[in-house]
Amino acid sequence: MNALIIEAGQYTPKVVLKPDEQIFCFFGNSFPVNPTDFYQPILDWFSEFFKSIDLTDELIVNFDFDYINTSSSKQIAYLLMFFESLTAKDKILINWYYDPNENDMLETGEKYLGYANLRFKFTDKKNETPIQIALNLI
Amino acid sequence: MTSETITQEKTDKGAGATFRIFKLLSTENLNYIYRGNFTKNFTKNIIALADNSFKDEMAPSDLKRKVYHVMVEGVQNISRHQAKPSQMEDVVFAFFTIKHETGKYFLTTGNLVENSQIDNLTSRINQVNNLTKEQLKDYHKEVLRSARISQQGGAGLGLIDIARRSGDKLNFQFNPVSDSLSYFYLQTEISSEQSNPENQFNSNNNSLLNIINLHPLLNEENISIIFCNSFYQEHLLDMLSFLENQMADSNKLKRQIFNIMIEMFQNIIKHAFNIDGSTSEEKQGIFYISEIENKICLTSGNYVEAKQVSNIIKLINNINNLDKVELDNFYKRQLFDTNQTNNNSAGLGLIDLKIKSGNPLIYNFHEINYQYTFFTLKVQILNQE
Repeated sequence: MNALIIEAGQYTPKVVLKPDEQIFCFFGNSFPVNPTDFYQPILDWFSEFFKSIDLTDELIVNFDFDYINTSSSKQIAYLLMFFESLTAKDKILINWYYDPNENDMLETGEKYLGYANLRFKFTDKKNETPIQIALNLI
Repeated sequence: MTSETITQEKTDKGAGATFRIFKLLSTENLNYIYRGNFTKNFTKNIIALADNSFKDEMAPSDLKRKVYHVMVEGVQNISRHQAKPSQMEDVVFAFFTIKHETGKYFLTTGNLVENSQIDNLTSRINQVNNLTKEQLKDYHKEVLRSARISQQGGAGLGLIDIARRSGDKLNFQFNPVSDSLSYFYLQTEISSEQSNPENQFNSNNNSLLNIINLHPLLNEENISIIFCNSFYQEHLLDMLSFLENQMADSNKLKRQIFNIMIEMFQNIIKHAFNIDGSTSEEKQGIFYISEIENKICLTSGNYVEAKQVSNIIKLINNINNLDKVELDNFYKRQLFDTNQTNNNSAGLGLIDLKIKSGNPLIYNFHEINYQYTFFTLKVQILNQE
């Protein structure tokens, strides 16, 4: 399965999906007017990816957003619902980053936690090495 | 106007004003107005914003350069010369607006001056207006040479410079505010063609009068910035970077304002109708920020289809009646509702506005015709600082 790397746009997040290195990350802002155009190919990619593997180890999907608009949050909900539909869903861990000084992303993450039947980890950005550095993505 | 306004229970007097402001700005083809204190920092910002607003225009670069210079000069004139009455906080604000027509720009500024300056300013502008292009050039040199720079930094030169670059007569008016102060309105027309000053005189007087009529509305509503028509994702970024530099508020409040603003701006981009029948991607509508007592208000206005009105009212009333927990649950249900298409996400946006602002949504519908209605939405944020 080929990696999918999308550089950050003016309204769209950077996306790094590298199965060989076990890296699955979203970071930045997401407020395109038509988020479906942006997220559908990502959903398609995950769909192909999970068909191609038999998940035995834990797979961490990192979400490190600064801001997402409501229509993007809907697309992310669809992505989480897709993860939820997988038989190996318990192997998936959603690692949700938040800035403790700004409640928005924590609240958004908690909304997902309350509805999606997936494992969540909330990571305080302040106490962690920034994800881009930790994963050597810069 | 009142007879055709459907006033819902959750309205305020400002809601009707939104449509009036929208109409005036649309008639005058004004894309934005800034009203506030003209500081040095502001000058830099307003120029960056205006720069962005015409970077995608097909205007010739010499025209853009002229507009740019007149803008810098005009805005700096205000920051240097505006009267600063200590006892009259509510009238201290100056404003700036730019109007664009094919091949032409109109820059209008309004600021307070002391009444004692009126005669001097009037005679200087008249003097400049009575000179031909060549005479103006010579006069410019002469003033430069004599270096009679006034204490505040040289308004004489500023006016001459504006007149030279404009190539047109300067339009101006004074409106008394008090025994000691007046508003000084100055409008400059800049066009790409070499114009003939003789037949241009007062050609845009109506435009200036319309803008002057707008001023009391801006004061009444205490509006700091208006963005009108051409709603487009690119322009959202311009506005955000302008506000980022301009707002003195804390990061937390700024962020709250930004998040709400993005939703409201994008609601217009996605859901507004252009009633002039244009299929342009740029949507008609208005967005502005105002401040009333301890509340910051974000207001959007745009046309919707008349048949949507009852559904919007039902939805907003429903949202307004929910407490925080119910609202969160409603939001989650909408978020994970797969029956909704993406185009249908306005509901989610409205819930989000109530959650993020923590205040009831205020709305107003102004019927236009059997097909369209003007929908005003006001979101209030408590400024606890």
